Amino acid sequence: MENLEYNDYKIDIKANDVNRLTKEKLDNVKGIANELALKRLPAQKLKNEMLAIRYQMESYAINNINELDQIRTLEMFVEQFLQVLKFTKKRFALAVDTTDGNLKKYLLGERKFNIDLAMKFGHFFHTPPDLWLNIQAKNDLILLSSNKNSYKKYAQYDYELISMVAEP
Amino acid sequence: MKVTIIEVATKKDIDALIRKGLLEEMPSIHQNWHFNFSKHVKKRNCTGYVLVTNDSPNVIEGCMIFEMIEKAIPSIAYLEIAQHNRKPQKKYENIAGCLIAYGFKLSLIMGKGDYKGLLFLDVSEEKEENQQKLMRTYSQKYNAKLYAGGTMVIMDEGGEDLIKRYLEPIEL
Repeated sequence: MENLEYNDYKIDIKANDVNRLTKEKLDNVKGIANELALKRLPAQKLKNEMLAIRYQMESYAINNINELDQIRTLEMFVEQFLQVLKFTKKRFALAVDTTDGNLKKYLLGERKFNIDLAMKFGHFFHTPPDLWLNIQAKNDLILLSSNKNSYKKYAQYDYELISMVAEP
Repeated sequence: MKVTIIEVATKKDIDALIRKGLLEEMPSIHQNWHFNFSKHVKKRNCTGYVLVTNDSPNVIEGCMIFEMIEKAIPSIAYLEIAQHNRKPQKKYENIAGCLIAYGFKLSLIMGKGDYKGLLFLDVSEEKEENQQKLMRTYSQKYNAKLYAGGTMVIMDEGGEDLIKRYLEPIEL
């Protein structure tokens, strides 16, 4: 097979400018999309929607978010998944060996979201279990940081301060 | 997002990052690029992304303009890799793969309705011969399929395969 390299060519991808995208071209693109959508199996469509939520979670987990109003809770992501899957919260709670009341407590942070739940969520929604834990930890830190007094009290644990104090 | 590219001379993995490009850093023809990314990025529904290494965060290794046509249809409007990553000197490889795979990821996140999981590309070359070669490359290497009017599409499993190959080894 000919060994083709993307960067052997002088010019790479170049779509028509959005301003120069003719109606004919746009209709062609839409026609292709509709044709492909018709051929797509429902299971693949569902998979795409699930993947989209997973990637939103990953993006949220790594993005630099520090404001309370930017927080996206585990509950928000669960609701998105359940909507796509057409599952009720009650049905999901049963599937992960809990009740909808307890599930709500976990999702609202009234109970500690733990590794066991992360494993169950991960398998249920086809996501990495640590993603759920990372998001919960991130949200907990944002909440803590928002309360300056709570955050400041940890300053005393700095090794440089402790080094200055004589060892008992 | 974090990605890994390959240093050609040593074959070593190099840590890199795909991030949104700032307007003032987007490449242009004045800096020896073929496309005026600094101009195109200002267009409606377009967002510029750059790939940089962790060691040289100000050197753009590759650049892409992702466009949501009519706010619904995901497409890569422009994509180019830096001159120093082209043959024969070619410093790094996998840059195009990482950017295209990232474009597909954006298609899943941002695509509306049936357009989710479709990534449109128009390949345009000055010479017909090069056009055909480039289309074959997109087809063979990046799972793109050719449709009427010269439009190429990366879809569903083809895009997932790109994400696995180029983005997932160090996901999170």
